[in-house]
Order: sequence, then structure tokens, then C-alpha cells
Amino acid sequence: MGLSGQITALRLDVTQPDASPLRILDLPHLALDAGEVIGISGPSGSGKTSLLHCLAGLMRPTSGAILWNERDIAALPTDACDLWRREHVALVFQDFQLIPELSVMENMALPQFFSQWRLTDTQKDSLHKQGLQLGLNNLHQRASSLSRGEQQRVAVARSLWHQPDLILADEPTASLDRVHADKVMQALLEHARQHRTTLIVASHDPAVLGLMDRVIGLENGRTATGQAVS
Amino acid sequence: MMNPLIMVKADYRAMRGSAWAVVLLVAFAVAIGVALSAQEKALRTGTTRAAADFDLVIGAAGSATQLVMTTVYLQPEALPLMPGEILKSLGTDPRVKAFAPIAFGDVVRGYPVIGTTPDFVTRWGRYDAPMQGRFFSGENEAVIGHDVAMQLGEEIIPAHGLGSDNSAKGAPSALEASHRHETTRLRVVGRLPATGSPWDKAILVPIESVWETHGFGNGHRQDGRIGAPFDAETVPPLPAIVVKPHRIADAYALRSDHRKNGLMALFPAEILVSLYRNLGDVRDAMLVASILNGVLILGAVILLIVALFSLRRRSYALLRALGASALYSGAVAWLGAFGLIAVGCLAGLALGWVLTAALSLWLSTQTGLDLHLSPDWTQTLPALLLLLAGSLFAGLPAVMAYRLSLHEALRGE
Ligand SMILES: Nc1ncnc2c1ncn2[C@@H]1O[C@H](COP(=O)(O)OP(=O)(O)O)[C@@H](O)[C@H]1O
Ligand SMILES: [Mg+2]
Repeated sequence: MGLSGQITALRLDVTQPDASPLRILDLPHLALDAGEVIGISGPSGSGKTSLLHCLAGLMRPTSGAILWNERDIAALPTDACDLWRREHVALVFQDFQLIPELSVMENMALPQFFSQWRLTDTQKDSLHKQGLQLGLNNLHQRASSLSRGEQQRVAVARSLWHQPDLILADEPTASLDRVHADKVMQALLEHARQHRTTLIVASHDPAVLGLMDRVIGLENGRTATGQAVS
Repeated sequence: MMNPLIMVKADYRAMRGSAWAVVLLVAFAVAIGVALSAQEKALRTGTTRAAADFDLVIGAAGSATQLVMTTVYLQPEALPLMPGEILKSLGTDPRVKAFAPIAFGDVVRGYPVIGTTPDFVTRWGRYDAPMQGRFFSGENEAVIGHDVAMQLGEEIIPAHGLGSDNSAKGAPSALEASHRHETTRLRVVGRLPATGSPWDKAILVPIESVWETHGFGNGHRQDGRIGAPFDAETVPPLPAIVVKPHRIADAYALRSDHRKNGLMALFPAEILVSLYRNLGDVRDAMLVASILNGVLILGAVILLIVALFSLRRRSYALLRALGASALYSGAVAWLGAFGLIAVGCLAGLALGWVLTAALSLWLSTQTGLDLHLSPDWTQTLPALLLLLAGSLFAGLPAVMAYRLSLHEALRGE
């Protein structure tokens, strides 16, 4: 279906569930087309992570809807939401979220083990290829032995390898040097173009934001600027 | 098919020492339970087996327990003596199938020398022949229990038994040497089959020999005879008589007949039963204690699992964020906890058996009872219960994983 990957956030509103309700996000409307590449910019604390987590269904908005091909993700029961994420979404977490006790390959392929006992040779080959594209040569190392830059690249490799319809990357180049940052962005963009994947990248880095179709500026959880960059 | 083991592996790696703590906790709890119940059973069967040939025991009025402990289990204690004339009346009593006087007091190299008759040496005719050699046939001959470290043909000199002599059995002792009855010389002519009782470490001689050594005569009108009937004018006094009645009714009648005139008669089996009854109370108390023990251990294990889960909550949140089903994260949590408890239970069973074997070995050397262990499925019961209860609570982390706020667990910074 041509619709795949189209996500719309309608009147997205998230407040902190405390005694003193603090508004974290307050977005009137956000619509993304399949294959669109969007940047989210803003100072730290402006709500970038919250927005990405909302779109991924990790956090339910207090009010509002998140439409994925006209289906409201925010209204799904927990199970169904987890399953939807498994089928369509890949996150690159700001803190990478690797399992330190597993190898790089096991980390990259982890969701595969939810339905499969062991990896096939074909899968291993493609994992190696995916690793190489991001400068990861040894997939048998424990994740705990990697540098922060390497861990970040593993996190990106994990999201790409599963070929999702929507990639939500939270500051995916923050721990990388220029060369590797370029490699990562190139890989993400190439993937988005090839598979018509919707890509949302939160970042401070002007070099990264410059690669996006469109950048949404956030400030205190609200849209600051809606500049289109083509 | 899904593979939760890869995450279980990661969890164990992350837990390291704490995983071992859970395993050890469970293992010790189970081991103690197994050891207690196995030991109790071994002791019970061992003591019952040892009392097998002692249907009815007659002695001078005194402590019933002491009479049983001394005759059946050969615990050295001075028993009061009763007049030997009872042997005459037992000899003519139609209710008595066989009887054997028992006399204690002397030792050879720490082994007690027990005076008795051919009837009892053959265990009321159950043994056609000893294991080696032959039964004694004269006052100067002795047969040894299965575990006595002596050779057939050896000449031994009994010494007056001394309660204060703590030298090991089989070892010569200076104290013993100074109390020898130098005029009595006995030749070992046979070795008896094992009975699994302290009698395996005793030297059996004709009771006439004991009487003569102590200057009481031999209980017979004619010299050189051994065993019943005892027909001398005056039969020497003695501490105990084992009686084999014809029928059960005879046993009860004989017992009541010999409960008066300064005598005491009892069924060792009955004494044991009352002893077991007391032990039974102890056992009930122990059962309650071990259940309590199990509950405490289980509580500690659950707390540990929950605490470990909080340490691992980020990885459970990640599993859900990556789209793992409830079944998958449930399987990871359940298998992880269950694996630890199961390994602990298995280790506990093994440890329990080793513990029991060691305890039995020690108790055997202390009591002379054969306390061999028989595997028994009821002994695995505490382990199974713990496993069952554990498997219920093992799912707890999975439930907790479902209540996580993924955003908060994975927000970072
Ligand atoms: N679960 C939460 N509890 C409390 N405050 C939160 C929570 N999530 C986000 N916030 C707050 O919301 C704001 C936006 O945070 P975040 O989305 O992480 O911003 P960014 O990713 O742009 O740095 C911050 O002020 C942060 O402290
Ligand atoms: Mg952030």
C-alpha cells in the first residue's frame, strides 16, 4: 500500500503526570508523508525525545491522536501498540539502549529472536554488510566493550537492518566524529530513499539538519519554526 | 520459534554474583530439608532392624530404656542383676520357644565381650553356620561379630570392662591390659554375618565362660556344657534375658508374668515405637521449621528477583520498545528466575544427599547401627514445593515489565 509510512500527529498534547502539571509537548498538527525526511531541532529540554517517543507509542499523549495510515496508535492497547512498533518502527535511542552483555550481532538482530531460534547464514551475511556500511568490522564483540561512538553506530545499524517503515533517530550522531557522522547520515538517508521509509531525526547539528527535507523547530514543547529545506 | 534464552543469558551475565547467591540460597534450603528427612528415615529403619531378634527382654526392675539400650544397642551401662533361677522356670515354660541369657562387662581390645548361648548366636536358628569358621562349642571359644578386627584362631584374654576407658575399638590399651582375667583364654572360632547393629562389633562367648571368669560357677550340674537348660543348684545372677515366645499371645502373657517380683519385661519394638513417637513430635516440629525455612527462602528469592528486575528494567523496557510480545518478555523473565531456582533445587538435592551420607557415616561409627540410605521420592518434596512456588513467582518480573513506562525507562540522561 502506498500509504505505508504516513504518520500524522493531531493536536498532540503531553503533560507530565505530576501534581504540578508541566506541559511537555503541545503540537497543533504534524503530518508526514511516506518517505519524507524530517529534522527536529531545538535546545535540550525542548521536547525532541518526548515527541519521538510519542510517535513511537512509547508514551501516550494526554490528549490527541497519532494516526498511522489512519489508525490511531495512541488509542491501541499495549500489546497491539508493541506489535505495531515491531512491524513498522525502529528507534535509535538517544542513549543507544544496547544490551551490554550481548554481542554486536545479537544486539543488531535482537528483535529477530522474538520469533526465531537462531539466525540463518543469509541473515548473518546481511548483518555483516550492514555493520560494514557503518564501519563496524567485528560483530562478535560484546557491546559493553565498545566505545560510545561504536555503540551509537550499532544502535543505528539495528534500526536499519530490520527495514522499518518509520525510523525515529534521536540525536544519532551526537557521539560521532565528522567522518562517522556522515557515514551514519548517508546510511539513514540512503535507506529512506530506497525503501520509502519515513525518517525523523532529532538533532542540534546544523550539518545533519541541512540534509533534511524539512526541519521542525521545537521550543518548550511547541513548534517554533516550520522551515522547509529542500 | 522464539528464543528467549539469548536474553536469559544476558540477564545471568549481568547478575553474575547475585545469580549465584540465589542458587546457593535455594540449594542450602533444599539440602537441609533433604538431609533431615533422609536421616530420620535411615535412623528409624536402622534401629528397627537392629531390634529384630529381640522379641521380649527380661531384666531386673529399673529403666526400660536402659535395658533396651544395653541389650539391643550395647550401650555400656551397668544393669541391675536378677536371680538366675528365672532361667530354670523359662526352661520349662511351654510358652517359651527359646531364650538366651545375656551378660556384659568384659572387653577385648575395646570390643565388648558378651556372654550368651548358642540359641542366640545362631539368632534362634536363623543362621545354619557363621560366615567364617564355626559357632562356639565350649567355654573357651568365642565367635566375633562381622566387623571385629580379629583373625580366626586368635587367642584373646578378656579384661574387666572399664567405663572410663575411651580407647578406640580394636586398639590395645594399657588400662585394659592391667585388668585382664589372665586365667581365661578364649580362641576365636568363627565370624558372624552382619546384622547392621552394634552386635557386629562384639565378641560373643558362652555365658558360662563369663560366669566362670567371675567366679560364679557355670550354671550347669555337669561341667563343660553350654547353653540351656541351666540345671545347677544355684544359677548365677544375670542382667538380661532375651526370650523368643511361641506366639504373640505368649509374648504378652510372658511379659505380664515377668513384671512383678523385682523384674521387668518389655518389647524393645514397643519401646522404639514410643521413642519414635517422641521423635515424631520432633519431626513435626522440624517439618514446621523446614516449611518456615522454605517460605523465608522463597521470600528472599522473590525479593532478590524483584530487586534484580529493577536493575534490569531498562532491558525489559527495551524488549517491549523493540516490539517483543508479552509472551516473549514473560518467557525471558520466567525462565530466568525459574532457571536459578531449578538449578538451586538440583544442587540442593545433591548437596542434601552428600550431607546425609556424611552424617550417616558419622552416626554409624557412633552407634554401630547400619544407617544406609535408601533413595526416596518423598525427600525431593521440599525441593518440588519450592520449585512450584518459585515458578509461580518467577513470572512476577514479566508482570512488572508490563507496567513499565517505556518512555521513562528509555528516556536517557
Ligand atoms: N517522564 C518525565 N518526567 C518528568 N519530566 C519529563 C519527563 N519526560 C520529559 N520530561 C521533561 O520534558 C522536557 C522535554 O524533555 P525531552 O523530551 O527529553 O527534551 P529533549 O530531548 O529535547 O532534550 C524536559 O523539560 C524534561 O525534563
Ligand atoms: Mg532528548
